[in-house]
Amino acid sequence: MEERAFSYEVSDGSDRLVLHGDLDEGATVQVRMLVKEITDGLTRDLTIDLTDVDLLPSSAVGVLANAQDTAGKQGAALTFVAADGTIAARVLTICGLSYDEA
Amino acid sequence: MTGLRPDLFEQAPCGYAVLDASGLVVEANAELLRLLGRTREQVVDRLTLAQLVSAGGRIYLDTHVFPMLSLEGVVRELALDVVQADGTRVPVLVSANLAPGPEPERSLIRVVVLEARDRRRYETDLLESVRSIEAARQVAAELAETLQRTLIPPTPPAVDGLAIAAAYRPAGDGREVGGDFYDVFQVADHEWLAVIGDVTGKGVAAATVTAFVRHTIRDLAMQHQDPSDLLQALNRAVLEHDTDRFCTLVVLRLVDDGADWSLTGSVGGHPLPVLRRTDGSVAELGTHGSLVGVIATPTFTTFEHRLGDDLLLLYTDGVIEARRGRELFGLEGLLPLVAGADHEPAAVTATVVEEVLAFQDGNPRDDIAVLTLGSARRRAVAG
Repeated sequence: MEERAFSYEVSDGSDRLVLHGDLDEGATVQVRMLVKEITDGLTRDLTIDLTDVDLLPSSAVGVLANAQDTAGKQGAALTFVAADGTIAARVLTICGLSYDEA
Repeated sequence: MTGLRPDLFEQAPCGYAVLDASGLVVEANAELLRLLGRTREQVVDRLTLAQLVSAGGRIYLDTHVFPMLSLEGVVRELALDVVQADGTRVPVLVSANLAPGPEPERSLIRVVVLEARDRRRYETDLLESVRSIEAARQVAAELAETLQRTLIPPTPPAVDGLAIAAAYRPAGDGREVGGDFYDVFQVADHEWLAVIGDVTGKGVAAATVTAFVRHTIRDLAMQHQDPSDLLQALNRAVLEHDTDRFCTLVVLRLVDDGADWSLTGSVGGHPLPVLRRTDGSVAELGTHGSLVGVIATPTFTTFEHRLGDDLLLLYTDGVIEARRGRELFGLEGLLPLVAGADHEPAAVTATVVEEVLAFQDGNPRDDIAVLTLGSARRRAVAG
């Protein structure tokens, strides 16, 4: 099977960012900027849905964890969502990050 | 030339010639004659363009330029050398187009010739630069390989009473330094530290962070008894050292009480160690912890285990993240493999590396590091 290119959509009145495909290096840079933009510089709550992500290297998780940490310091919450059994759920677990299942 | 002064042609700042259908020069301006280093009488109605260029250029004209001219009606930016009367070669750029006559043999060819000494020098310099860059890249690649060899201990040290089997396989063609590393070193009498880790990124920049992490761990191991305290201190050090890079690792402290090895360990953002008991059953050991060097307040949890006759496998994510298309090797691939291996550290390490490589047709996209430990004191029973 072919690898799927990265794509995303913003829903729920820009409260939810849904990611699809491979979070490779280029996609990770895109996500970093996207999350900053949607949350006004990590000052607003955002849910990031990683259920449909096929590749989540630790470099991408580092970016997500960093953003979550910064948002927390600024009084905002970044919440990760990954359905049970998905690649994202496993990687987030290994990296010690909590997530919601839906 | 109707309505135009003849000197506009004669004194044009480029060489200009008109050839007849056989290639004979029938008109030439002053600039062209200067480039050719010949007089009008020596050239016009006497020599063909082919006779004014180098031997290589002549062949090129006959086999490519004239056929293309008759086919397309135009040729542009041909790099040729014209040869002056004294044999001096002058690099030029030539463009030409066809002025068709009533019959093909009465066609004329307009030729513009531009001196290209500077351009040719520039191209030569460029070629030279490309060569030196290639040479520098070669040196850098060799340096990277050397650096990598210093970062990956080829064989773990001999530890009395402990069997250690380690393996490292770089990603792809192996020319780029990856961030995976392992280390086994003594911290006190009968006390050792074993570490496996992965620094994000690749290349020399990642390798320098890897070296920093390894040395810092060796330092901190003397100050912190509890592996989780060690990871907290390392987290602070990495945050201070580098804003972008971070690492994942497992730290194990092994204490030999003369009869058995007791382990304490802690995991930071890394896959958990896998335990293989003598009956062949397998289980993950420990608790997941935060990535090291990302956030200021990470969580690490210390676990304890008495090794007994068990084997303990430490590995980097290149093992379970190995992919074939969208299929992952995963923990689902790893656990049965460990369960099925012979109950010896060397057998477990070799089996894991072989199978993960085979899964990716021998061309892993990420580094793989594997470290298996087992007591060498009691003779383990094959499981």
